[in-house]
Amino acid sequence: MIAKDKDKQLGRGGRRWRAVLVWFLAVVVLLPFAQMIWTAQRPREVVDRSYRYLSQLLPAHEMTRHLEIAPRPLRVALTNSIIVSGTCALLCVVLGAAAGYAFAKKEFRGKTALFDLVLASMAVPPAILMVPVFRLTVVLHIYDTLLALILPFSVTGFAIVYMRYAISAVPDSLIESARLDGLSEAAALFRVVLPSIWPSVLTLAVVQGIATWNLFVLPLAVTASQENYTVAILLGRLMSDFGGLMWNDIMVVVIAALLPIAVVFVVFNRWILKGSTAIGDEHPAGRRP
Amino acid sequence: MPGRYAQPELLEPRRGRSGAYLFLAPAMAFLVVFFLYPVLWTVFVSVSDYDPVTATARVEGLSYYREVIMSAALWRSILNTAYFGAVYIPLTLLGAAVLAMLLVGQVRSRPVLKAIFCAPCVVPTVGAALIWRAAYLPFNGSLDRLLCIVGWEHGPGWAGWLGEAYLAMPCIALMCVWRDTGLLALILLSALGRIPRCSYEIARVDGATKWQTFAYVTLPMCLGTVALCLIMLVIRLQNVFQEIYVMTEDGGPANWTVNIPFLVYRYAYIDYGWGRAAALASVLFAVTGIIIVVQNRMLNKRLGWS
Repeated sequence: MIAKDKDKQLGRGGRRWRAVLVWFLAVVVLLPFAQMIWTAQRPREVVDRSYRYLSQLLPAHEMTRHLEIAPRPLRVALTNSIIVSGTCALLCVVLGAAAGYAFAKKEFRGKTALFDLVLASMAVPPAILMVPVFRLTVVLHIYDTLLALILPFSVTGFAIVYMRYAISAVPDSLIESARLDGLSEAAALFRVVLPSIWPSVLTLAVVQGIATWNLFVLPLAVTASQENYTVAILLGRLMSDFGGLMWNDIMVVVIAALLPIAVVFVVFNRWILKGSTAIGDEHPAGRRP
Repeated sequence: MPGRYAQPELLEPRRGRSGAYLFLAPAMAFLVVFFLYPVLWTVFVSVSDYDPVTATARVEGLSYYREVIMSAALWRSILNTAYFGAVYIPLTLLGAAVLAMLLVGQVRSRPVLKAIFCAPCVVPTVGAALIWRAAYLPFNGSLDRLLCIVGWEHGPGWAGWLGEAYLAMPCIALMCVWRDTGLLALILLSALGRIPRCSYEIARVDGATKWQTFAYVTLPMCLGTVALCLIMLVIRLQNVFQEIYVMTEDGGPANWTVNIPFLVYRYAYIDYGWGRAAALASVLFAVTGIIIVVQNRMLNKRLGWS
């Protein structure tokens, strides 16, 4: 009896230790963000010259002072990123749903080969596509325009695979009844099937929007002027394009680039987590019809 | 009995097959133009004497491949990639496994913890690389300042964490570990959640110890997911480019951070050796292709699509 109680106590103690450990790890994960905010709110001289890093705090309005370094390029980049990410998210959902529907509900010749192509497009390192995609945009006369940032990313392998999983969970009877009501196949897909799996659709849109926001390698190859920078390119080229930047200025720009993502992350947290862990699930889109 | 089963035929007229292609066409057109065509073009350039200025080409053979394979830079970049992987893959996978096991016990605070651990992977990698580069600065970076508090000061010749030959690559890898561990932990956590409770009860009734339960119940049940995670990590390993572009800029110190994708970039954009870049890229395609085939087989088996 005593031994049993002891066992229980140990178990409870162990659980407490695990909680302490996991929260400690959470703090460690957040440290780089803390450093980012800390560096951003220091006056410009302090970070590079003074060793007394942790000694003085500064009012928040110091941060806006750093923003004066690159206000216009930052504003332009934010606008570009919002346009590009929004358009790509929308196109990914529409095109991915159409292709995913064909893969999920139809039999046709070359299905396996085409799906292999889709999977292959997910895994090829973007760095080795830089030269051909750059050349392609030149040939298509869209080099250094927003179109060059949208078209290559308007459908992704992930979108198609994800929609295939999601739509294959929809019962055929739903589609059949929609057809019996006189809807065309496309109308059945977009007005009946997609609304019935709206959580998956929303997940895909958010995940694709964030993924497009973070794209760097290929966009770098197809843009030249600051007018067409997205936020990620601005960050990557910050030090080569603007002279005399201190790390506090850079961190303020990083924060400005993160803020929209942070808002989306907080609002759509549940959907992002669902989409991000999709690879491990049997049916990434969930078993919900 | 064609009369009784007329309905499906009515719904799926004979053009059902072409209907499938209509749905596929837009997405596939984009994939063919912006993915398949660039890949094929790269393979073509690798076996020809392509001139970027006049855009003319004549098939020449495998001379670029010979040149690439003979060059010391290739083997150096393979070693660097392996060095990166040796830090990145075990740390991420082990960290994710430990984190997932820890998260299982945290029922009430799990949503908050999940959000915290997932946060690094939604940050643009370029931004994360800038944050970490600032942390690695010599003397003034937060890492050195923290070590200073503990009492570990560097000598005057210290070039920073990213300035030392042996340290630079692991330091970049550490940033990627920070970025990906949480995501992988969540994937493993959802796999743990799918293990039926009764398996654990049976193990307990059989008198299995904690370790035995882990080795004979938890691990085999998650093995498929772990394998998928491993493939994901290998693919990410091949994608490491922007991290280096931002953190060490030119693959320095003394080429210690030039990995294979960065070498392709350097051949193409700094040396303008498009043939060599294309040859190296084609080899990478082939390696990636093998990985994809394996992944596809595994996915199909798991989903019963084969």
